Amino acid sequence: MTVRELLRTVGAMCVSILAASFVVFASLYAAPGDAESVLFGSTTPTDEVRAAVRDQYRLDDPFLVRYVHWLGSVAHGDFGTSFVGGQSVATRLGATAPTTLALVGLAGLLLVVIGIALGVPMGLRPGRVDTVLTTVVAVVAGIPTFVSATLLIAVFAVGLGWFPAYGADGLRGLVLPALSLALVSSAMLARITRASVRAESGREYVTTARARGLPSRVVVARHILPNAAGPVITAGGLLVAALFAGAIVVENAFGIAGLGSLLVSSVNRQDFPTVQAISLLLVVVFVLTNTLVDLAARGLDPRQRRRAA
Amino acid sequence: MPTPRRTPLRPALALVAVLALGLSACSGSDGSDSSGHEATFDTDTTTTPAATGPVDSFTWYGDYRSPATLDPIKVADYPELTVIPNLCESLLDTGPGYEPRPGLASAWEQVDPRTVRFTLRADVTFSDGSPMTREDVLFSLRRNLDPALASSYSILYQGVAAIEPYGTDQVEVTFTEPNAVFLKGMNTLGGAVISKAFAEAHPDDLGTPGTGVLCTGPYVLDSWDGVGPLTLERSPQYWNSEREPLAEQVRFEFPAEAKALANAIRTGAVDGGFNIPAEVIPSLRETGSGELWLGAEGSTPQNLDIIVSDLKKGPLADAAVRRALSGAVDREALVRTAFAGAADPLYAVAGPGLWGYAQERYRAAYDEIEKAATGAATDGRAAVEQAGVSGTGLTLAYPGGIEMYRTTATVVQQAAKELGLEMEIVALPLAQYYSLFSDASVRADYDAFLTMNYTQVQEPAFMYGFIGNKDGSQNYGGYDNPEVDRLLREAFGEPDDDARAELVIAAQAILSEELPWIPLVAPRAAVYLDEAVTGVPLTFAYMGTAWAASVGAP
Repeated sequence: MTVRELLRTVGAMCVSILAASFVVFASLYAAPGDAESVLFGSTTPTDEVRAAVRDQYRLDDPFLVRYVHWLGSVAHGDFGTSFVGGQSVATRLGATAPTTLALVGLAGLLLVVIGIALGVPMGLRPGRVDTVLTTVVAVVAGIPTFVSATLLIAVFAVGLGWFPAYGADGLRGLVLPALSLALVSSAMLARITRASVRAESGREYVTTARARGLPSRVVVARHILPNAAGPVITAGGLLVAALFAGAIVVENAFGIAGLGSLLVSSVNRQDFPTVQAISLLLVVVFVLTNTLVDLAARGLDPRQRRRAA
Repeated sequence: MPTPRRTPLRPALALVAVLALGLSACSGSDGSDSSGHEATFDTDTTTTPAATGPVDSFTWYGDYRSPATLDPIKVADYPELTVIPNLCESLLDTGPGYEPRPGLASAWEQVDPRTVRFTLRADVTFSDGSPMTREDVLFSLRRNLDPALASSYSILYQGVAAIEPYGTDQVEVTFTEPNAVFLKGMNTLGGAVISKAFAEAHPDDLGTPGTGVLCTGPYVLDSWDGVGPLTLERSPQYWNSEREPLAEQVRFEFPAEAKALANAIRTGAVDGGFNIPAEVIPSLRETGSGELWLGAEGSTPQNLDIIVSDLKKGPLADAAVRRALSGAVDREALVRTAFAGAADPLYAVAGPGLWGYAQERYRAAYDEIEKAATGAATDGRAAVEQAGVSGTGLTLAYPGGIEMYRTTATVVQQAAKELGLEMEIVALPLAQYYSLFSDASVRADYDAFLTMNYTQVQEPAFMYGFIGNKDGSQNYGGYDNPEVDRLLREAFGEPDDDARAELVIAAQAILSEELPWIPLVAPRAAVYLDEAVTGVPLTFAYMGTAWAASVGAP
């Protein structure tokens, strides 16, 4: 890959984030409800106080001025002050983000491991193995996250008592939430892996390699899998990035204080600064993951590698 | 808080309907537990059995979200009212049956209709060992007058002229108008005392996770990140030797969803909680350990009502139509379907849960209203026809995603149908629902909306003042009756309990005829305790006392 390509990719990423930040800000600007009623509740502030607060939150500035100011502050790591209780939004993000990152990280790992571990044999062994696994995958793919969360809690927490049903104390507490978060996506990844491996297995160069007497193990490891990896990495990356959205459901089901549960409660309480910050953060993470996956996939593609070299 | 509190989120958790689950234990409303052992109805006492010994720690359901702040006056919602009273004490303390008790003030007196005085204890210290002075008390009470702080208790402080020292150890509060109800709110966090020096050192971050508060209570903050669980530990030097906390540590969990709470209870992750959602009750049956306690009628001050958006517009502008609708609602069915039996039909907005005094008088008046209301159910259709609104369409808004409200709206819709009214029920997103209370233009789109209210002060004059006075803070429909206004204002300033009750009852009679709000049901307290702990109120009194100090081994 050339430097120019890299620059172009990074540039596109920045443009995406900027555009998304505008959409996030604008949609909350247009949302029903008004900041003053949130801040003062049923109390009636004096004109002086009202003016001071409107000034503090820049409620009287034109839309674009507010947007630019917000963007500038965010660039400096200042996400403003929560409407609720006056906590700094950055602190609230700091308190929740590590939990959500750990949850999504673990779920991502499970997603990739389960997806590939199921998808590869499905792709390589048409017949009974494929049929059985395809059925299993089809069933799993149809289970919504909140249902899998309920099932996993019922079996492994309430029934067997292996894992806690509630809260996120340590790695053990994250296992069930991560698993229920990863299940649906891992089924999707398994299908994609299967299709990709199957497609590569049928190519002429594979037939040729086999005809030349290369052991099956070598054919699979050296030829089929590397060439089948591209679509799997791209899809896997997108699925991992999408886990952040699923985290909202899982965190609430398991009573985990993470970005997702904070987002839900902040939306309900019309805490606009927090909602804006989390939305933007999710967008950034999504775009960032996409870009990285894109770069990785291109790096792995032999044709692209050769062109760069 | 003293102001009526709209609580769409809470009932989302507390009072979600248990449809078709046949919650037999809750079918009785008179305390007879006919078939199940999972629920204990306790109609005689206001507490669970007292604790007999200490425990190292216990974990409590701190309600549906982590507190927004630990500043006692900033936010008055269930999580704050569950946690903060253990940190910060008020001038008055609250007994389990809401009876006022000495707190940081050893005595209090309504000197005349415009003056109350508190005698401060001399032996109180903050949790850092520094003594509580009169300056701290003056400072803390005056914060409620500061518009910049937007105290949740500012309505309680309306009409306060001055808060000044008196004599050597007293504080005097004077009012511009006669005020007999201020005193009754001093056991809420509106009467809480914080350290002046600490508050002045932290003007911008008081109550936030990094800073916390400095108060006099039996517990201090141990750990809290502002969004997740919160842990309290025993204050190293609590001043009140008569109230030694039984637990070294109290941990609060804040599951947002009823299901998460159910799992936490079933797996022993929490030991107990107030306000257990009706939705959770069936699963408590399966735990085998632990017990659900349901309070008596009037064990909470909560009331579920229909608010009429505009009393001059639409079919509900006619009081006869409102009466007909009220009469047609099957409140018994509501109690069964929306509240799993853990509620009582309500015929006046300020029902048994708000009678802090003169109970017999209020009861007699209430019974009459109930009799009149249930007798009127038969000729509703005729009243609607006479009003000329038969077949008219109208809309009822309610907070979406909350089963209890959906069920209630459906029952009300059914009642309207029986009267010949075409009622459309509309679920609003919570943010939009909230704006019904602050924005008349949003209200204009709906004829009526559902709400759950409560006041923390056991004073019907308060509740009726909010909804019945022309300038009442919750008078959304524009109710304007000079006679009601006069009666309630007079009651507000009447120090004699019986005389005040008579004035309130006279206003209540008119309000129950004209129905600017239509009362539906009053939920009961639902408290869960596992086998490890006991010793909590079976009422909402926990919001006005350091309840955790009494929790210990059974």
